[in-house]
Amino acid sequence: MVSARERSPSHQALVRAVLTRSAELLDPEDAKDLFANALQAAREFLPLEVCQIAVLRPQDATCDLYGVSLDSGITHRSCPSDVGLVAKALQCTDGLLLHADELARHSRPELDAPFLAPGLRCAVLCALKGFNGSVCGALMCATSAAEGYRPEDLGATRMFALHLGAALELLQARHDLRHWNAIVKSSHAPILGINGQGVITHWNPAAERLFEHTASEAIGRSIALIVPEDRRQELARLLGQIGSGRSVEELETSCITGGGRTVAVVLTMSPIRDSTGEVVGASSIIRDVTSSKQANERFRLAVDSAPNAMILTDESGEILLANAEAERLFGYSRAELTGRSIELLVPHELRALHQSHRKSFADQPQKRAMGVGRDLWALRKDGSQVPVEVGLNPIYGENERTILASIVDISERRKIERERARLLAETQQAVEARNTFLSIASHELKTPLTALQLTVQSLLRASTRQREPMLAGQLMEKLRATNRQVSRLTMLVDQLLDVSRLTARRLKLERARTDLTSVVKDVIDRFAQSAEGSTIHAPDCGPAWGHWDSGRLDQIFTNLVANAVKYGEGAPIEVELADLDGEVVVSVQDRGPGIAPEDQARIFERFERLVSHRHFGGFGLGLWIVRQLVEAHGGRIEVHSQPGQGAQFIVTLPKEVSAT
Amino acid sequence: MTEERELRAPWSARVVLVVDDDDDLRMAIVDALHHEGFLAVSASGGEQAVQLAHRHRPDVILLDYRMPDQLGTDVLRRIRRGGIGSATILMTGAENVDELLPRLGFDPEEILMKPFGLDLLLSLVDAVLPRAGRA
Repeated sequence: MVSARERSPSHQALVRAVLTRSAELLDPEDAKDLFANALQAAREFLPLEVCQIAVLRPQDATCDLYGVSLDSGITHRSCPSDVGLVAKALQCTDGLLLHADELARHSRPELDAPFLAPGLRCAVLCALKGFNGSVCGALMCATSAAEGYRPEDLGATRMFALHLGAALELLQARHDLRHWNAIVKSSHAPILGINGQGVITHWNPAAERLFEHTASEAIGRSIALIVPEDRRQELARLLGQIGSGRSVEELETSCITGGGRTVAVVLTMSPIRDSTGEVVGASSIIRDVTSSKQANERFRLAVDSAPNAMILTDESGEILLANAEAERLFGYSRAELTGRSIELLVPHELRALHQSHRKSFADQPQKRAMGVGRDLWALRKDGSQVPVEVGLNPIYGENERTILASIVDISERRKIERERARLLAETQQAVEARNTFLSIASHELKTPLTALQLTVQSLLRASTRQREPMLAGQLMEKLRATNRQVSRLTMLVDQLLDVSRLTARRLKLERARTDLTSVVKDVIDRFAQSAEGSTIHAPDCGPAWGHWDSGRLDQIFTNLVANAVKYGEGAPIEVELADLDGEVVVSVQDRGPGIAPEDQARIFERFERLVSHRHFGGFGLGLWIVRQLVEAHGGRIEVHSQPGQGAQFIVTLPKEVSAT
Repeated sequence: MTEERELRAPWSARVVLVVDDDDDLRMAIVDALHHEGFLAVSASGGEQAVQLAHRHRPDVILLDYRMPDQLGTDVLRRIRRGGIGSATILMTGAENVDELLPRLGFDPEEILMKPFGLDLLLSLVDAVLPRAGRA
């Protein structure tokens, strides 16, 4: 065996060789091998019978103590770091020689027994230091050689301790590295590393799965491998940012897979620096958000194409999102809405109230309709207001709460409701008018019918009483009464039929060349024979020819003159006729009580009568029928009257059928 | 029935006051009653009816319910206030007589629904005659 002393010049090289090999060890459990090798090498240049290496456990005040002896090989046990030789050795950063008596003084028999063996003459202690100079353990050697240790052996020991410390640290780092490797490999998130040139250096299994490239395919290729064409500029910018030492946080972008699929991702990229602080690459952690992005997109599309206006706000009422229908309803573009307060869409006078309602909703958010029982109005960009119905839905996100308002424009519905109410009122009015009419009609028909029945039955009874023959005068009187009652009933029935025809638009005019003057004069003549008290002044003019239904003209003027007689209170009645160019105007003027202005339009309506129906009898349909007949001829009728000064009815009739 | 009426002496003739604003109907009723031996007087309105009732103290008052100046029931109330206890018959063309009756305080047999014939008129007058003077 070669003496240790003879080998001393090559000590360093040997130690380095041993340690370099040791550094390849991956597990601290293999530390024993490291030390066995180290001691084997150490024996070559340092006489030693006992050698112990203590490795500090950073987490407590103990050490792993590895021992080596010529007989028992490598042993391992725990020991305290603050007593005995270990405590002394940890303090000796420059090494310390101890003779047998000193050795005994510093040792603890129960801990340091190997160093108290008989025959040991000398020991050397030296602390182990890592790269940064901190103590990480201690080396303790002892020899029984007669000459003991010399001062130069202390230097060799220090050198040995130095390399041993470095090797230990390296071993620790390897352990950490292996741990980190396991973490990165087991990560579900793709993690990759690139160097300063953008070349992929690291590629975990999750990256293999997402990007569909194995590590061996990816490593050594440019990161552009997974960047779509249209994102290359963005990549250059990112690399520039990393190069200047700034991280990229949560960037939403897209990548392309080996299969050509585009995936939506969120990536975080951090610069990696060397010991001088220079950026030499970057690490990147990537999150695949394709499915959540698709879900978001689907949600966005659903909201956007919803038939109602949808507006998403945060809790402070700031608009985050608005759909197409909201743009249409409010007249603002999405860009104009986003970021503004929701109160923008609330009429000014309601904003304060809306704000307080919004706050109470935020305190107790639940899906509900807004403003139940109240009319809600929204304000458009053009300042107009629109009636709306609003549903509110709180939406709970990861760390925020938003409110989705669904707004329905109900102006159309309001319009329909108003129209329905109007139609209902009209219908009710019509039903009421019909009922009134039926009641009047039945009453009006019953009275003359009763009179007729009594008169005829009296006649029958009289004719059977032979003892008392009826005088001719009495008979004539009864027959006149009968005739009058029959005429009255006929007139009422005619009116009923006219109403029915006019309402159903079934009235047909039998137009023929007619002289209106003679029609009017005939009517006046008829009244002159029967009118009691009223003088009727007929028009003093020649014939007025036109194409009219003479029967209906007769009906028109019979009605007007009858009205004048009825309401004229016996005063003279003036009938005038003017034959103008293309039309004839007839006026019937009485001197009765007149018609109040507010009643003048009403009298031409159906079932309207200004005084009690029993006072003058009839259905109250006369003027309505007159107006219908005049209008059927293409003409018009108007009334001029002042209360107390009589009434003047003016009928204007075109001579020919108008083209329209 | 007819024969009995014809045999009545003029001093024992029953007096009927007919009140209706419709001239034709009023005349037809008066005529019919005359032929049946009643002494019929007629009024076309409330005022005249009250005057005639006081003057003739009729056995029966036959009056229209709805007249232009007032209701038949109001006319009757004024007549009754003068201590005249005639039997009454109310003539009406109203459809809702069933609702009217309790309000007016008339029995169904005192109501004459228009249109009515001679037989009904006379039988009703006969029916209410025993009530005359009870007011």
